[in-house]
Amino acid sequence: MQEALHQPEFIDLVHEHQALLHKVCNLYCSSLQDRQDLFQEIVIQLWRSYPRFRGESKFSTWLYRIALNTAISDLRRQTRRPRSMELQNIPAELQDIQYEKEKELRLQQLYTAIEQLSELEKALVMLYLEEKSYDEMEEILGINQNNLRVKMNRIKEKLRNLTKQTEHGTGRP
Amino acid sequence: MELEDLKTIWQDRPDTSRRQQSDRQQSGRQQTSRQIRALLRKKSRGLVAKMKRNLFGELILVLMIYIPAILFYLFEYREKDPATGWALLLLLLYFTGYYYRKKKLLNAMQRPDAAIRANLERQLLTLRKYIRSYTTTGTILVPVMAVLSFMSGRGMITGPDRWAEIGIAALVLASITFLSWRANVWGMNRLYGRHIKKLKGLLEEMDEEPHTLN
Repeated sequence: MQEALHQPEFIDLVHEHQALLHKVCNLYCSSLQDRQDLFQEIVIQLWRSYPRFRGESKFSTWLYRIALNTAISDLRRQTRRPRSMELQNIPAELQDIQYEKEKELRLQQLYTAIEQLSELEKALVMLYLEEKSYDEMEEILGINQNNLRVKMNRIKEKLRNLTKQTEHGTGRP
Repeated sequence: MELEDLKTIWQDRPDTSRRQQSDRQQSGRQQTSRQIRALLRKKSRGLVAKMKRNLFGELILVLMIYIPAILFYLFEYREKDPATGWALLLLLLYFTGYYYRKKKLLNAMQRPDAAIRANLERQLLTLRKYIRSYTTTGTILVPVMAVLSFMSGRGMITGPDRWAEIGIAALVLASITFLSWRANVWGMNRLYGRHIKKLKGLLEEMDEEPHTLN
């Protein structure tokens, strides 16, 4: 009864934030099947946790926590195959989008570089690209800001090197 | 390429394929609502959800084996061996408590709305408790069942050589218990070892002190 009451409201919220959920799936999974599985799992976890959402934090913070927790602690994608710079391995969405060529290439390079980061580093990159403040990052990840800033600088440096390698066609380090 | 420069491209980019977008444009919100409703009807394929399903399967199996056996010993066979019936009933009660504890642990593992560090910590702690509970119960159960089977089949050890017989029985029991413990530890490690390693690795990475990062 309670479920039926909340379902339309929940569906509206998922609908509104689904681009964000797809971004998490694209960041953590290289194959279409894995992305669909992860999307399904995140939606199920969101639905299960929804009755406990009291509005103490921003809805987007709550959503990031669940999406990233599900993506990070899921065992299945440990067996994923590595993504390379070859076109067939780049997410279908990227091949599909009519972006300016240069922008598209840069995004492809970014995804290839991100693939080589750890699961925690991926979460940090995502929150950084989404322009989350360090306060919000701390709330989502549970890591103190001092530590976050140092980690973020290290990731930027790592990505700079990784994308340099892909720009020069050396691919994986 | 600087990460800073990619922010705009990242935030602008739609994250669904053109086909998905056009589908949505055609049938709008209703289509997405239907898709989300369909997703909600599906079973979770996460590790904890699978563990819960396995636990429920185990419970059904135990009930199917124990209830007929208890009924048989308590009603049909009560003249000859009522003690076995009561012993099995006690075991069933123990099992029920054991399943309740495991279910509680699994429920505690599913709190993805917590901050990521806290959630990983809780998962690791709970998974370790779960494994300990499984290994201990699995190990204890073997000698208990062996003694019960022996008592219901042969009764007490009597006769002049009874101490020698008790000594041999104890030795066999200890060996079986040790083997069962090893098998349980091996099985748990095979099932959850990789996951524990991953959780530990993530927590270590999160806890790295800033001065060691540079």
